[in-house]
Amino acid sequence: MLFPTITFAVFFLVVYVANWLLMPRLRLWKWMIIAASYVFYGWWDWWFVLVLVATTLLNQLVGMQIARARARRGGAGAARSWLILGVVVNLGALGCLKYFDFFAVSLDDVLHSLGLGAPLPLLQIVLPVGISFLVFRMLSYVIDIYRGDLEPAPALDFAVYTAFFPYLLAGPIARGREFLPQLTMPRDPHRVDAGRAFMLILGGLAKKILIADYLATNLVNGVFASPQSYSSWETLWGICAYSVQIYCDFSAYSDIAIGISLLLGFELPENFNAPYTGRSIQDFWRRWHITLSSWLRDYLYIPLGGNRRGRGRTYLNLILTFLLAGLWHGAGWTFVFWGGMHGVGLALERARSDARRARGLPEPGATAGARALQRLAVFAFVSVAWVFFRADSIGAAFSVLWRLVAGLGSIGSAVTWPVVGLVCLGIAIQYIPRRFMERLEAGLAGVGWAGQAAALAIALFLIDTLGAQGAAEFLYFKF
Amino acid sequence: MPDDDHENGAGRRPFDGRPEDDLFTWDDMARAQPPRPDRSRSEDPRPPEGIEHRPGLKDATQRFAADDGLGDEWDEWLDPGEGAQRRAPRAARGLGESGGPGPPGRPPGQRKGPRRRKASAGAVLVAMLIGFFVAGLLDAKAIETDVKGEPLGAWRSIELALLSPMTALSGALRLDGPAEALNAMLGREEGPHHSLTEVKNKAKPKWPRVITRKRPLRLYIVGDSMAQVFGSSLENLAEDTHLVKAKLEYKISSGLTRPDYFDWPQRLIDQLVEYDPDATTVLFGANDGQNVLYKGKVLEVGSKAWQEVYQTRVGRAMRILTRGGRRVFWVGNPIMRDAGYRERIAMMDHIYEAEAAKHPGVTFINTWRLMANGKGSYAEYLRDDDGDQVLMRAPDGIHLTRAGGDRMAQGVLDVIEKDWGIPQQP
Repeated sequence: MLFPTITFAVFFLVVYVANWLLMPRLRLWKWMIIAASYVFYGWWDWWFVLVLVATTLLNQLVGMQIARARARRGGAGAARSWLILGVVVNLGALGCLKYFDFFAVSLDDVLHSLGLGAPLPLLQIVLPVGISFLVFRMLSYVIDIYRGDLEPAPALDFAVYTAFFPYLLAGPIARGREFLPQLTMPRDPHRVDAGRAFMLILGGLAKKILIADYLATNLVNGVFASPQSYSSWETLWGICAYSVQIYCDFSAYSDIAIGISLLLGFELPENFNAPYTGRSIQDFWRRWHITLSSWLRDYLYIPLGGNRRGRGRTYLNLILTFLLAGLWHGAGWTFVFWGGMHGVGLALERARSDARRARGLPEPGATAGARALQRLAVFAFVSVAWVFFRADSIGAAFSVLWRLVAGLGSIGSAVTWPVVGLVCLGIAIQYIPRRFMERLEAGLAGVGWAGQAAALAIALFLIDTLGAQGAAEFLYFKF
Repeated sequence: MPDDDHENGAGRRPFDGRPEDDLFTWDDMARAQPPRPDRSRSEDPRPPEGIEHRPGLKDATQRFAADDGLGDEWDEWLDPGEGAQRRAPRAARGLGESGGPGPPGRPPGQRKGPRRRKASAGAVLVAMLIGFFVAGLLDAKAIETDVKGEPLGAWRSIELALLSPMTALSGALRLDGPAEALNAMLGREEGPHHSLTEVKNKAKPKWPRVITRKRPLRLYIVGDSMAQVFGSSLENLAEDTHLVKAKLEYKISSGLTRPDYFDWPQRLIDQLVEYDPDATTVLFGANDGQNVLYKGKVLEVGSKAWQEVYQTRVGRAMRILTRGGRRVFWVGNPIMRDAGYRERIAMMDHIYEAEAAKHPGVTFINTWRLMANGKGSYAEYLRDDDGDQVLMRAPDGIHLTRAGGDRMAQGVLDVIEKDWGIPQQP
């Protein structure tokens, strides 16, 4: 089920009514929200629900066993064994469902090039949407229990946590310790944060339908499908447009998910904070897909040794973390390349910073001009990296980049004023002061139900009329 | 596996919040890292009186206790309206919200925006119902068009029945005016259509002729979503020869069974006049395996009557496209993963092949085998010319990856080049 559809609107209205009617009877409410989430997920394929149920049961078992072992004197070894089992099973499930064919084919190609044709059988499994998000939620749960940061939740609570439909498909990756405490008592039906929720939902819909989908259809898809048909000028705008598209698409999903959760009475962690205003790659990652980057920090970078094992190891850990982050996004070398670019970029940035500090030099960026240049440089770097993320192959990505110099002859006609306007708008909205947005949210909260109804009606009408026909899937579903 | 330094209670050093301490330098988040429970402490683990202790809450208690004090924490969970900023989940705290570039890492207490009035769930429901209803009235025509495009069946009938009073009310109250005005402003009104008589049967047919760089073959590529990747692959490969000028036009969810959704025959006539191609490559069928509304009756997909109607429509499209001695390359769909869907696709491929045989100038190109594995079965991965296994199909088991599009397009281009006497690329 896609968010920007009438089907979802009807589904949500029904769930919303049931949500607040059943809220006083929390146990019943939990069964209802689990059922609704399974319907939402099963809308694609009922096999996905089976995967969800199986992983939920298994991780609950592992979590309980870890907690039980930890509580026993001398049970550390058993807890560790259960943790290993949990990690192996979760990663194994992800590996089988998402990566087996990729690795089998890569190995097959190597063997083939060596003249050792030994074809491996391929699983060719239909990948459940959002499986990577699901596995990361599960992993954080069992690892947190092992670390003693979380106690295992009752099975019903855990089933709600794993299936909660607003974030089920594409995050934010809410941790158990962030979400589970909210299930301990009924949410207050008199304190729905409607102003913020409606702003997030309407803003998300506008970003997705008016900006992301328009840019995809009118420039980005063409530039990446037939690079040779586009001039340098068009390719340059196509690359910038993709940077804006992926931000407006993915942050829109997060915003809508957070808004929908707020209407149901729950808070989810923020996922984006004006990423293209970042002044360094590190700063970009503090602002882009925050719940993923913090997950990677806590469950990958730190266990690898973080920055506690010397400079060289720090740089290596950064690169390794981001190579795996790339692979997390998809079973393809383009994603690994993208992750590698960010890892190397972060390592170089860290090395430069270390060197400056060693020489006693201040960090650059003291003047407004320098800060603007830093932002431009980060945007350029991130945009080039996105080319690899978007392209069908590494060769295709280089073909797109090559057009930046090879297509100098003409200007072409694909860069229209609406495209230029929307690319600029997609970047400009990230510079809107926070206080202004907060005032808007407070204003919408203050106008009451009549004002909110009017705002909803006008905004929905404008978004639907100005947007293209039909709902496009969110990009991050496939991850 | 986590290493010992970080996983053991004693060995794992907590973040100390220094900027250089971790990957992303979220100092406030680092502080929010919950302290490891100290089993040696003999403090009373019971929650405050009157509060049911539940797993998970302990973690939050400790976390917030680290900076705000236990009392605040309990207050926050009890009263969801207060202290929203502090109560925001860990990643949100100090990280801000999308839409504004607030510096990350600011202590939660310092970010106090204007207070937002909270609403009751009932008032929010009323706002949503009225908002949706009025938006529906303003946009009734567009919604009706979308619904009409859905596959014929009970669900579509119910939706249309529910919509019809809204459409009528919208029209009666003239609420469809703003949408019409906006569409006119955006230049979305349909232009005048051409008629088949304007597509002249010229004395000199389009085919055969010598193709040169100065007078390249004008190729028009049409289809549904399958043509999106296949078509752009064909466009790329064809234009690489410098002897073909290609134009791709595809419409997602379209086909020949539902002219009420998109009228392809009319579109083909318009393009014959406006683009004047020498040849057309056609790829339809992926959305055509659905019931057809014909003379007020719903014909079930696959029935004899359905096949006759579909055959007639395919034949008509072929007659339009071959006018003036133009050539048509009707591409059959490749093998599909789902068994039922595969059967319907095979049935339609037979119809295309049979109709192509009846219409001079039409060549049917079978891609079924081209996109199947050695055993003739569906496969996501197929070996390329170098013997490497390459992913050819999208996860849905229907559409093509770029490599799949290239493979299919090369097969089709070979036929086009042979037909027009274009020297094949090495």
